[in-house]
Amino acid sequence: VNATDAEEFTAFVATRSPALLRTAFMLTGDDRAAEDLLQTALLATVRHWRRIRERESLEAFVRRVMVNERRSWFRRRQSGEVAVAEIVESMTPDFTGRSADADLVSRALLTLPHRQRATVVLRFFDDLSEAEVASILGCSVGTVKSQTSKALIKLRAALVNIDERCEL
Amino acid sequence: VSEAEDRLRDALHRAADRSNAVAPSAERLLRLHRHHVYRRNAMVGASLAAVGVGAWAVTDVATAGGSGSDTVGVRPATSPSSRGTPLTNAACAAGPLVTPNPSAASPSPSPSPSSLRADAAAQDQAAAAAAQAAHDATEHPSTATSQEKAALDRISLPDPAPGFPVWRAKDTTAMTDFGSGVAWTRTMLRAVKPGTSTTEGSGVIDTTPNGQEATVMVACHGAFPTTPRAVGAAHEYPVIGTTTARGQAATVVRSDTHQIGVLVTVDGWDIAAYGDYGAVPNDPVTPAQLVTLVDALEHLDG
Repeated sequence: VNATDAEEFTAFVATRSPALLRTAFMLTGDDRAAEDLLQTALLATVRHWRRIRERESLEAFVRRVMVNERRSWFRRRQSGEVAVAEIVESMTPDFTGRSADADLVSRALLTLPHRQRATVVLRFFDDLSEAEVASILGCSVGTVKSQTSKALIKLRAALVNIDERCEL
Repeated sequence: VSEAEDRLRDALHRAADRSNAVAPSAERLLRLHRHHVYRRNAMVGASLAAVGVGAWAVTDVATAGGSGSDTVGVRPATSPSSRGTPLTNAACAAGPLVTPNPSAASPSPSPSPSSLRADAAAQDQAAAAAAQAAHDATEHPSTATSQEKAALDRISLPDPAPGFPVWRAKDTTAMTDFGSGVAWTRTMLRAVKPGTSTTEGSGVIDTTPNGQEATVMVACHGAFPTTPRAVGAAHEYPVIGTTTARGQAATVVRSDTHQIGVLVTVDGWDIAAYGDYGAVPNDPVTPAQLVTLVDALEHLDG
C-alpha cells in the first residue's frame, strides 16, 4: 500500500464505514461483533485494494466479505471452535413507543438463518436491488427472490411469537 | 406489500440506530495491514530458507512490505509489566529489546492527505532504521545478543509437533520486525499436511499449503504485546478471548480472516502461535490446537 493507496483507503473508510458498520450490526446483532466484522472486511479490502478498485464496487466487496465472514464465524462455532469471549446477542428489550417495533424486528431478525438474514438486511436495510444482493451472496436473482419470500414469512411468524411471549 | 416493506425498512433503520458500535480508523487498519505483511513475509522467508534459497532478514521484510516499521527504539530490559509470570530470563536479561517510538503511540484520528504522506515518509525512514539496527545486530553481535540468539536457537518443538507433524520450513532464528520494533525471533512453521511445491522460472520453490498451518514465534519479552490490554493499546488485532498456555493467562486474537493467534509471556519469552487455515477455509485452527503447540515448546529455560 503506497501513500496514494493509503489516502484513497482513508477517504473510503471515512465516508463509508459508518454505513457499513450499521450493516455489520444488522448482520450480527451485536456492537462488538459488528466492529470486528467490519474491521476484518476492511482489512481484506486494503489487502486487495488495487485489484478491487479496478474491478468492482468497493462497497459491494466489503459487504460480500462481511456476509461470508459472518457465515464463517457461525461455522467455526458449529465446528467446535471455542471463542472464549462468546459473542452475546445483546439486544436489550425495549417496549416503549416506536422503539418497540425496532426491538421486535431486531430480535426476530436474529432467529433467521444466516443467508435469509443477510438477504433481508441487504435488500431492505441497505436498499440494494435483487441483482446486487445476488452478486454479493453469489447466487441467482431467483434465489434472492425465494430467500426473501421465505425470510419475510419467518420474520412475520417470529414477530408474532415474540410479541405473544412479551404479552405473557 | 409495499407498505409492509416500508415499515420493515423503517424498523430496521431504527434498530440500527440503537447500535453503539464504533468503526475502526483507517490509520489503525493500515497499521494492522502492515503487521500482516510483516508476518506473511516472515512465513514466506522461512519457507524459502528451508528450500535453500537463503535465509531471510529484516531488510527483506522491511522493503518487501512497501512502507516499513512504524518506529524503532531501544527499551531497557527491565520494563514494567503487570504479569505474574517472570518477565526476564538469563538469556534475555542483558539482550536488546526494541520498542516503538512514543511519538507513534497516539495517531491523529483524522489524518489529512499531507500528514499521511509525511507518515509514509516517516515510516520508510523507520523501516530503514529497523533494517540497519537488525543488520548491525546480526553482523556485529555483542556478547549479550549472541547469548540471546544462542538461547533462541535451542528452542524447538518436538518432532513431530503435536497436531502439526509436517515441517514447512527449517526453524530459523533471525531479526524480525513486528511493526513495533525488531527483535531476535525463533520462528517454527509446521503444517498438518504437506504442501504442493512448484518450481518457478527463477528456481524458487513455491509451496502452497493444503491444510492448516501454524507458525510459532518466540522472542524476548517486549518484542510484541501479549496481554489483552497491551494488544488493544497497540491497536493490534481484535481480542476474541483468553485461555491458558503453559500455565499462564494467554490472549486469543483473530489476526486475519483466516488466522487466529494465541499470545502469552512465559519465563521472559513472548510467544505467539498463529494458526492459518486459508487453504481450507472451513477447517479453522482452534485456540486449543495452538495452546497444545505452545505447551509443547522445549528448551525455554534460557
